[in-house]
Amino acid sequence: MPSLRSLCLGLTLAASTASATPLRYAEDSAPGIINPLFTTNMTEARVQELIFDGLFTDGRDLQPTPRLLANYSVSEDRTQLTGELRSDVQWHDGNPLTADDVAFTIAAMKDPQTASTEAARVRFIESVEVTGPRTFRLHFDQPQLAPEARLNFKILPAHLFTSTTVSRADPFRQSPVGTGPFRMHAFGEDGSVILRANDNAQGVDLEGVTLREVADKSYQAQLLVYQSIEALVRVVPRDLATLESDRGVELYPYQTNSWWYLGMNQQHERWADPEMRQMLALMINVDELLRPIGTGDTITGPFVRSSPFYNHDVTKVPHDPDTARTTLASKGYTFDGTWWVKDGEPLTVRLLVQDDQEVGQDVVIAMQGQLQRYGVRLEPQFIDEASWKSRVWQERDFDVLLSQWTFDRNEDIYDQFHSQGSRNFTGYASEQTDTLLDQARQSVDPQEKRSLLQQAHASIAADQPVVFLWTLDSYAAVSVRVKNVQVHPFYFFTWAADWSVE
Amino acid sequence: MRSLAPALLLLAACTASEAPVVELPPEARASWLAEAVLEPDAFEALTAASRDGWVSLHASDLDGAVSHFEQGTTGERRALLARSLVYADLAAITDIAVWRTLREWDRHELDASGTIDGLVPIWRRCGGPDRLSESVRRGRGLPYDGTVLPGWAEERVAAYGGDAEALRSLATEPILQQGNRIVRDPCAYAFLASHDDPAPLLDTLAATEGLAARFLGPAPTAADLLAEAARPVAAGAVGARSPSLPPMHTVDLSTLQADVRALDDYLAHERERLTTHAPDAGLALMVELGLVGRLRQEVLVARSRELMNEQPTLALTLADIAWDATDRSIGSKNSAGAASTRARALLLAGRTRAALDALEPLVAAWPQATGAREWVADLAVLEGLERTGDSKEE
Repeated sequence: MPSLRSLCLGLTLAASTASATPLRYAEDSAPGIINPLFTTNMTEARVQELIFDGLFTDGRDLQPTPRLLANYSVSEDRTQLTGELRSDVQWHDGNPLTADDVAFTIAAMKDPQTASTEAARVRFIESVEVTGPRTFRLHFDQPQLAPEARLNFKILPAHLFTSTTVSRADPFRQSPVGTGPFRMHAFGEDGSVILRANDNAQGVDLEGVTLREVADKSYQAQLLVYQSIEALVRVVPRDLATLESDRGVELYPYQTNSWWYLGMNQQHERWADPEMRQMLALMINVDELLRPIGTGDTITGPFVRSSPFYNHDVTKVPHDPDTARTTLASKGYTFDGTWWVKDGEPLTVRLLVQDDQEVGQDVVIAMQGQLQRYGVRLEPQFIDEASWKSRVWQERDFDVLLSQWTFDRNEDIYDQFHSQGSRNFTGYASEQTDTLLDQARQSVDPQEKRSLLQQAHASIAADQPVVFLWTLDSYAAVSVRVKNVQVHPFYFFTWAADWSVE
Repeated sequence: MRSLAPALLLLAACTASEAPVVELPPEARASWLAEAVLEPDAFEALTAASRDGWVSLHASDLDGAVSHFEQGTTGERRALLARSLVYADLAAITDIAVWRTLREWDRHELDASGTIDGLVPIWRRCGGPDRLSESVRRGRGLPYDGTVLPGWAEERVAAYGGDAEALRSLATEPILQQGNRIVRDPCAYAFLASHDDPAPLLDTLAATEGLAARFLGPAPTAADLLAEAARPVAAGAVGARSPSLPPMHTVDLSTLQADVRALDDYLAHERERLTTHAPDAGLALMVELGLVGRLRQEVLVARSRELMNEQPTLALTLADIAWDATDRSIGSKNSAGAASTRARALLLAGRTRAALDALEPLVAAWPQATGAREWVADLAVLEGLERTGDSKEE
């Protein structure tokens, strides 16, 4: 039997051997698809940041910096951008990067048959003119003051697709090829995604990056503390104290603007009625739900409290089950001593939740108890990511959903709350909100834009298309063995090529 | 996966048993941390004179501390200095935000007639103090030459003449509100900062003996404070290079990380030494008041301020490390200065939207920060006008 000392030595050696491996980071779930045409969640966006490049990227000062371009110019009337691609960039499969790739990517994003989730990002590009093997000209639909800031979408290899109509099921999703600092190596049997450094990329210090799927948040923190991973992207508030006091770990504010919500499908007759939506909001005690999760702020509308657009005059929906009961009675529901019933059926909220959301599961259990207390049945349905994409993003097949939106620093809520928005899952439609969002989108006066979006906040809060829940403090945790760490506030890994592991 | 847990625990035990015991030199007793913990009577004597003042200073309630300490006492000077440094950060934040706002306004070819046009002369006027000479230089380069906003000059004579209450009101309320157009005073914080000029306050404190001149501050010993006050740096950077602390070599992220490790090693050893030698009352004081964490934050904030203008990215990293993630409010764990320094570094590093996050707890605790927050909020919107927003599910 080995002595305690030798066992200690063995474990320490094992830990230090592990530290020589590529950077390993934890996500709650592995990405189902790695194809920038169909990005729907941050897990995908983060891993894509390692594999793919855009024409421009954010510099450390968050100003747009050429990434795939050797040089470019913008026409005097600002309706065209002429670009020349770098000659030293190759796809991970060895093929050269060409202007056809740029044209293909934009065409695929715009192709209605592709139904790219990113289509809105290229709407301002009217056409692409390929003028040479590495040169092209983009024509805009109207003058663009700074087109560089809008050209950070990821470029795809045209030679790996047969048409601009691309299916979500295209094999590319399992074997993505990019130009970024890391190339796809393998999907592990445990759901991990293993990337290796791109040999053609200059200045990449890491040997590779491994995304590990770890659904249990507490276990993620343990893995970091004991050096089985080097980074975790989002620390749940309850683990902050442990990691803050661990000298082997550094916390980095990850300043995305995120909030949780309950979305009610307004294609369903019940939720098309604003009074019924209000009823659900009144029944839920948001503060009580938030308490066990940790530090965070409750919100009254579609912005976080520090946002320039947050309307601080909008008051919080109170927890008021009595008024909720009055509403139900006025809608023809009767209380049978246990449940509110109509047409012989108890009032049932069918709540859709992704099964990898540990925090979400806690919220559902607590919410179930709350609603049951007031005579409303909650039936949760936990589904996997693929089913979520299909039922929520494509078919809008749900009653109520629990989810979380994350915004970059623009906090553009148009797609979520405009009747024509591509991410308006709930089917919310308000003429007043549409007008405010349209005007805000057109406004070039910052104070006018703030005022319009603060009004939109009030308008949306009054309509309650969703029950706004909270925003949580957001930190990433990285081992101190990882050097030169700087975290992009949204895409996280934008500057990971400069990171190294000791 | 769960079967790993016992091994991980064993590894932790192995690592813990290797912690070295370090003998510190006797002069380490001279630090405010050691003095307060090893000699609780000294702490009792300190707080007996103005318990409320020290409680407020510990909780970073700077207005409360100024009002609770008796006028002319060392405690009052400490509170005035801490508040003045926050105002200096807010002045710098406003200055950067105004400059960038005017630049962006010009770049977007937005209508500058009326209020924006009238803002530049106001901004130039607050270039009086030396610290704003850079803004004046920049301001002169701008193509605006409007007239002063109506009514501005008369109303502000008293405030800029030294009426602190009027100045605080200027920091909170707009100068002008016409429809959507809201203009905040771009000079209020600069004048507030200079109202309680930090330099003479610091000189007086450096020449003052006793715990009150250093307790809860970035310079651990009297010799540190004296040496640091003599350095040709802004008052906010005093304490960054205290001789009794591990030296600061930061020139890049790698050396920064090494410096923070060295400081943490020093503090860990100091905590261990004090834990061994302190009486129970002193030990309770160290733990309950979070004194080690406070010293760490004060030093890191001073270091951040030292690097602020030359290397804002490093200053930001230090400010991020200084901030205690377990408490989002201004109080005993996170000082007002830690928040204002972090916001300033974020803004200098180009993280305008994130600077709003950093300012939020400060505004919640301290309405005077409203004006700075509003300038930064307008700038964040202005800088994002040409971007396409991105959103994803988490």
